[in-house]
Amino acid sequence: MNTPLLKSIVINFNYFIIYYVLVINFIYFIQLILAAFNLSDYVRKIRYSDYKKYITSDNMIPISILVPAYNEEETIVENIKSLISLNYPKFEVIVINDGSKDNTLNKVIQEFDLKEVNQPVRYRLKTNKIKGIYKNIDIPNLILVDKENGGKADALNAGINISNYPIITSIDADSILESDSLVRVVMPFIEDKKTVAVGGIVRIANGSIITRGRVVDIGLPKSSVAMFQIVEYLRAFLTGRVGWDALNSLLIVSGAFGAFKKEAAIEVGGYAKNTIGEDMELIVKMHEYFLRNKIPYRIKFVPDPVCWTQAPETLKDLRSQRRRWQIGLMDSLFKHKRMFFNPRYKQIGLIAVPYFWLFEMIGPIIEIIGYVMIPLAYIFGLLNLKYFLLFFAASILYGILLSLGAILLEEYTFNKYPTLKQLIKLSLYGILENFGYRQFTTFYRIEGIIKFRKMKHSWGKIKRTSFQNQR
Amino acid sequence: MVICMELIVLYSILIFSVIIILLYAYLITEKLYEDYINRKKRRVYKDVSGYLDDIASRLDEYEVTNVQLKVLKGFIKDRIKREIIEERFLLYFENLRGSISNNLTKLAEDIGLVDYELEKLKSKDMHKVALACKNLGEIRSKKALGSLLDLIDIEVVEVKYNVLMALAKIGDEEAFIEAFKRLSKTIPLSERSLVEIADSFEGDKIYVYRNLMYLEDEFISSIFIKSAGNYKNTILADEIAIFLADENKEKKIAALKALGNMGDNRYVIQIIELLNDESWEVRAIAAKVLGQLQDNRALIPLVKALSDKEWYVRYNAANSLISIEGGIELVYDVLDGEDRFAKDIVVSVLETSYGWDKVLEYDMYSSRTPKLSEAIKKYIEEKDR
Repeated sequence: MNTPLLKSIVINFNYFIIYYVLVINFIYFIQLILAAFNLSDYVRKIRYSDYKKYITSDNMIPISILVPAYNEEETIVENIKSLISLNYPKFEVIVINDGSKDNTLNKVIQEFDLKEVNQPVRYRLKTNKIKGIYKNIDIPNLILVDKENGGKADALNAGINISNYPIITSIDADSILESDSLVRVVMPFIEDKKTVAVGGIVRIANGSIITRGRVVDIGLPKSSVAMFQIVEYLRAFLTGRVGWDALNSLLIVSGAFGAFKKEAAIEVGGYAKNTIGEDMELIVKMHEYFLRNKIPYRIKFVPDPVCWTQAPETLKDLRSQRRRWQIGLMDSLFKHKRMFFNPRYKQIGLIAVPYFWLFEMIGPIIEIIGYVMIPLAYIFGLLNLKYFLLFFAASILYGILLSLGAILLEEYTFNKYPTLKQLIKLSLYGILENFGYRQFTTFYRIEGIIKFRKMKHSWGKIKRTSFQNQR
Repeated sequence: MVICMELIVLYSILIFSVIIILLYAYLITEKLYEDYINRKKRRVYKDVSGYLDDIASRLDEYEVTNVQLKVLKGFIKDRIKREIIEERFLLYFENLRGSISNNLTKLAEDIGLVDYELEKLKSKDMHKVALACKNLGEIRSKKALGSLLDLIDIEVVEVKYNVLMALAKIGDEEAFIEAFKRLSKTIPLSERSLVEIADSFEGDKIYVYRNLMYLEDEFISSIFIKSAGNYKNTILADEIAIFLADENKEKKIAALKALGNMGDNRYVIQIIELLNDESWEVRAIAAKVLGQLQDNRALIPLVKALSDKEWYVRYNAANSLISIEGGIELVYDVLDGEDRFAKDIVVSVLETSYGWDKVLEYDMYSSRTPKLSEAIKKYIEEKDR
């Protein structure tokens, strides 16, 4: 190949990358603005919301909390204790032990003095064999299900089969809910009968003081990896999810905390078993099903009901988590590729799905190629210094601005980190994450793309530590 | 091309930075302003709330003087003082009922607080309107009825909910009935929120139920049948029981639930008949309600319902059966029978709802052999084989 042609290819490709960076950041900014309006609306709505009235009302919808557990012996007991003491009129906690290899099952049985019962199961969703159901008559709202390993989605489907109530919520076994989170996440079902799914905000508990399953003092962690994730979660939830919600185009309700109308979940076949991104998959399936059948529906994000989760503190665990997220995303997008730019699926087909294809799925590849190609092109004299600097200014500065924007939204709305010291620390990490952390996560996502075929059916676990008196 | 791109990047960074700086500036300004207002509020809070508390605490004994009214009207004109007055009023209404509450409503009308809220109903900002509706409901002023009814057709869920809840709290029967008659079938509010509104009505509930239970709109009608059940006034039982024979499934279910809540067993025969209804939802609720009524005439029909083809019917029948006195005796008959589904469900319910301890306790006082616990164990062992 002759040199001028090669040079032209490299230069044009580099132009493409910088336009790509511009477009993606422009979209993020639109999201930020939409999120600001949506959050402002929400904060005003709280002033006249009747949710407190419903905390003690018999008319509140009873809810089944599903807790899928696979090798969760470290945190499961505290988690269950925290859940059964939640402030909600009528609910049940269904813990599904998905064939754990550790002591999860025995720990729960012993701690809550559970006895095996002969409860027939109505298999409205097909799942692996349920080996036993355990209950304690004195804790009537706790049910433990022991089943053969089949993955998180299979565990959740088993929980749906066992559940008695019309709304189900899935909570990761390593997460903690705030006391009135359930009421807040169920309110959209009360307010609008078209609601089929609601997502709540997930926040990082690392650095906070947790006593007896309650976050008693919100703090920031010492671990830099966890600190970066706090900024990242603020951006993902307060900008991303709230922004998509404003467009009625939410594609993800986090598996760590989401509520669903049980009949709607069963109608679409429950959680998909052959994926590790079962949370996104369920939501995309709902969009596709309801839009295809022209059934009015609503999927909402509520930024207030908080679920606290443990973020990985080592790069190894972070790598595993991000790889898993990327695989889940890709799997879901591939499964619903017919929605891509399909007007039949309205704004979901025309905006949300294409965005996730072009920017969330392919994004890491473009970013990495950019990191390699542009310096190389500069070294070989194909690009001038100005262009080289422009690329870095674009990719780094935009990132910083967006993180700062998300932190501002947090401070303006819920203000969970009220001190000036916390604001400064968050802002500092919002800047620092662009120098190394972001690139690391991009590499992990690339790894997810590479290992997609091999790993798309695995559970994927990270090391958890006990929440008890954590700081 | 490079220059063009350079400009795009530079301008975009500049614009985005300006937006962020503006956001920061807005945030800081907002926080400073909030701080200023709070400080100002703290300064006058004691005087304003003290003045109002003093009047409010003696409303039952003394008339409010013209001077006092003038002072309070002056407070309403000042934003910060008005906020304090409003907060106090809402607090009073949350905690006080009866004649003092009526006097407070009159005071709120006299000093112009109600007019101020009514003015907010004209706003185009729907959050403001919804909040004003909520406040007017708390104040319980009949002066607001006309304006609230004018808003009933607004297609904003939050406004609609707060209008209805305000009308419920004000408790004017005719206005409340009128509002529900005007609701369309496509009302986006959930059934539970509407039952909550109906339950919250503070006027003559019986009059309202008698007017709204018979509406042609089966959705609204069943809401008031259910709410009548929650009210637990047996005066309405005969009227509710008529709906047990209604063609509409929703009305039948609502009537069943209502009679179950009331615990009125005069209609137990009609309810037993509904165990054979063509709709499984009706059969399931009938089975459940029979447990609430605790009438042993239902025992044999419930045993039969254990063989229903629908799981929920069997489950509810099993729960009701063992909850009625004498029901547990019939478990032997079920275990001796041929229907595996009936046996499974009854064993499950004994273990999960009734409790193994209670089964053992029953055995201690029973002279029957084999013991019930042994019969259950035998069945489980045979099944596992």
